[in-house]
Amino acid sequence: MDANLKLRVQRELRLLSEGGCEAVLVEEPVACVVYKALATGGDPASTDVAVKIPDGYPASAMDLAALPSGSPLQGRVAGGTNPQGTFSALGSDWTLSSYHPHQWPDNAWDPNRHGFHTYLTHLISWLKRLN
Amino acid sequence: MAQKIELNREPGHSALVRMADPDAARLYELLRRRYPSEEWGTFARFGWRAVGEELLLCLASLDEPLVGDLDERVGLVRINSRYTKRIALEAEKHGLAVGVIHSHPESYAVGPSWIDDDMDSYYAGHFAGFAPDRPYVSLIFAWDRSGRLAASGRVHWRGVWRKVERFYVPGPPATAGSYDEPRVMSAEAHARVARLGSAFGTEAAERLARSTAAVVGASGTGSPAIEALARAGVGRIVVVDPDTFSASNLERVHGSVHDDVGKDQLKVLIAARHVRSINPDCEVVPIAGRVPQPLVVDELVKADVVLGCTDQHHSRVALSDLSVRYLVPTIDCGVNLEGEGGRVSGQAVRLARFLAADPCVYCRRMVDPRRVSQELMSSEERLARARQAQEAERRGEKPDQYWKEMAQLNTVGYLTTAAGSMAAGYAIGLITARFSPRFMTVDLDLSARQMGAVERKPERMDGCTCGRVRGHADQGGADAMITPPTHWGDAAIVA
Repeated sequence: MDANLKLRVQRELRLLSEGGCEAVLVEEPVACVVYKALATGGDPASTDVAVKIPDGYPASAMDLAALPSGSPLQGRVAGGTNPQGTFSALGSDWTLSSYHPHQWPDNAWDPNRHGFHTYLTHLISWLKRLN
Repeated sequence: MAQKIELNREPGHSALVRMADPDAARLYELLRRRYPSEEWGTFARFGWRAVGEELLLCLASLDEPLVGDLDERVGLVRINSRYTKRIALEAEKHGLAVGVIHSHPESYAVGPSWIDDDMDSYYAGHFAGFAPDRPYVSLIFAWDRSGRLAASGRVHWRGVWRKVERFYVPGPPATAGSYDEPRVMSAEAHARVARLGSAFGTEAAERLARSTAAVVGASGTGSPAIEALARAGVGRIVVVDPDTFSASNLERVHGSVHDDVGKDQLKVLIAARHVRSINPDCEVVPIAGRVPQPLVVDELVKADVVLGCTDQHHSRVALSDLSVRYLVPTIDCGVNLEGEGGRVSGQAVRLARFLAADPCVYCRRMVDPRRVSQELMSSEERLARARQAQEAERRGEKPDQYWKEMAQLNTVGYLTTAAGSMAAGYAIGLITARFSPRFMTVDLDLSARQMGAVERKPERMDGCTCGRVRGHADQGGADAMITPPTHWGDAAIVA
């Protein structure tokens, strides 16, 4: 993993940690961050969420979010019925949902402002507003 | 007993120093506070990058002396212990290299004296306790009566003293070790640029011959820029482009010939061939690669000026980042041809200056974040997303959240030649210190009256990181605006 990329993500994880959110950087086989035990609006009451580190980050926008494969929340989160593939991290399989909080002009990606620490707020509302 | 400092003389074991305004201007003002007869000085912080065995230092900020920090009663710089202590304690909190910069009186030699040896020996050891594994930097500046600037410097790092071989400063050059700029051109080389020499002065021609210009992009705007730089007698040109030449490039790429079609020739090799045919004295460094791959960054940070000549938005992000963190002055150029009803309605040329203190591309809204993301995706991801967009459209959903087709900019050879040549002109102005781009961004429309010139002066956005990592070099890596995707592979200097 590129040294600057690692420094950047680690700093964002520290910000998350200071705010009380545990998140883990996974470098291989797929570079991603796994947010631990985020509260949901359903059953189960909490879940881990994995978000891939996009190529060229932080210039590239963060996109999508993954639940543990087989999660009962998969069909209830926004974009969950339109899976975008699976990957492995931390010994588990993860299924990506079609969730795109930064793909619209009113929330355009800005690497000087956004990161894994700000993506958390999108994930929280994503997990709370279940279908 | 003073300890004499021995410099490592092995080839390549040297240091380079970069400075940019406003810190350089403030430093000069400070150093001449007691001119012409007495010295003055300051502590400073430097970001750094190891380029092979060479060490690049970038002036990040000055820790200016407060009243009483330096002894006003003596003509030399005598630093009081409280100043040293304050700087050492600060160094424990920041991650930058620590250095001392001081002046010698007007027209004095800039080589270190035995007193300087004594000070540097002490400080190199002292600051190592507070800033372990970081370089200690010592620089000396002096001006002669006609205002010529000479400088010397040395850097202690990993137990070795390195000589500062080169100073990259804004405006007139700081010559290493002497007020006289070294002469490198032959009579024949001078004859080749006689018209430029008579317009700008022979010392300007010599500066060009000693300089390095880097051009990112060797196609429409890059190739005429490269040609103009080669004809002006620039001594070293770094050319960066990952792409190969195709038939449609023949209309724009200077130096390309019909025989190049169908050979999958790298554009950087066509550029190199063309430069050598114009100026055999010019060293060309053709790199098949992209910014910010490490090898490319290693070369660009040693350039006097960089030209951004691609229509890729991620390149603009990377060059903006480079100008802020490594203080590399950059001129970016782009063109776009617009048409309507069978007529050309706009012939846009944009020139943008990225100096260290300028707002970044995001503050200036010069890049489309979506375009940047899509440019940085692997080809597999692009295909997958384009497929998903088609499926979304079939379902009656908006496809843009998956993939948005980006229109390719329309360009034409005369327009790219004009833009690239203008960018090269500003590069020549910066290198020779004869003129500099006084605009931050200027848009021209060659179809409009008075060429429709519009100057844009955007402000830095509140909270943007670009304002706080100026000169931080590798130590500002956590604030890098872009990192090279793994699917790019490695850049390479090609033969």
